[in-house]
Amino acid sequence: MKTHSLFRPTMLAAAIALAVAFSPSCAGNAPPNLGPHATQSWYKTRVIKSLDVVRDIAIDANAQTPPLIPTATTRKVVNFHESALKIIGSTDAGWRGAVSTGLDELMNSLTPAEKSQLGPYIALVKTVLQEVGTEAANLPPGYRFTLALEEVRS
Amino acid sequence: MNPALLALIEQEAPNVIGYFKMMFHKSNPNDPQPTDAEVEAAYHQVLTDSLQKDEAWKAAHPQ
Repeated sequence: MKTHSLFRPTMLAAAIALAVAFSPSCAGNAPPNLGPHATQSWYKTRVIKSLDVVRDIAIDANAQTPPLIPTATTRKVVNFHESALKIIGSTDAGWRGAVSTGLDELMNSLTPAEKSQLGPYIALVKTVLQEVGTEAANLPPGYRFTLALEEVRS
Repeated sequence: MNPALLALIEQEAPNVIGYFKMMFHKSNPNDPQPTDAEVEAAYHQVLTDSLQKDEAWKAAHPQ
């Protein structure tokens, strides 16, 4: 459709900006003075902000006249976003995997046209999740063990 | 140009500009670092605000 092809340049520009902005070399690690829990909160904040971009793009595109993304698709994105944030807010262990799985399920529930619209943003959130996972692996060994233990128990 | 596309660009432009500012931002090691309490407060604020936006959209678009 014409609106979809017109939508792509904006998406591409935003995707490039996001890719660079969230890349490991630009975004940086958590400040070294933070304790383990605050470091987790630092990473969680970054993931929430990247999830917000997906949600906000869907909402803004749905608000156009005519809507560039259907309301039903926007609802899927908003529901996923809300679930993801509740998971992130409820635990320090296992949330990366749960959010990543949720992103996969969201992608699988989209039509090919919707995937072409939202896919780049979803892929970027997965990149941020991987980056945050790598950085979390550099936490002090004792804290990593505590997280692993919590993951086994959950 | 499509008016809907123009409106979307207008809405999203501040975000894109913000990302580029973040991209070129150089942190100075002499700058004061955020404390645990500040990071925790910012995290809870971001989480709360974001969930409120989900609730607001769903309230405006009942099934």
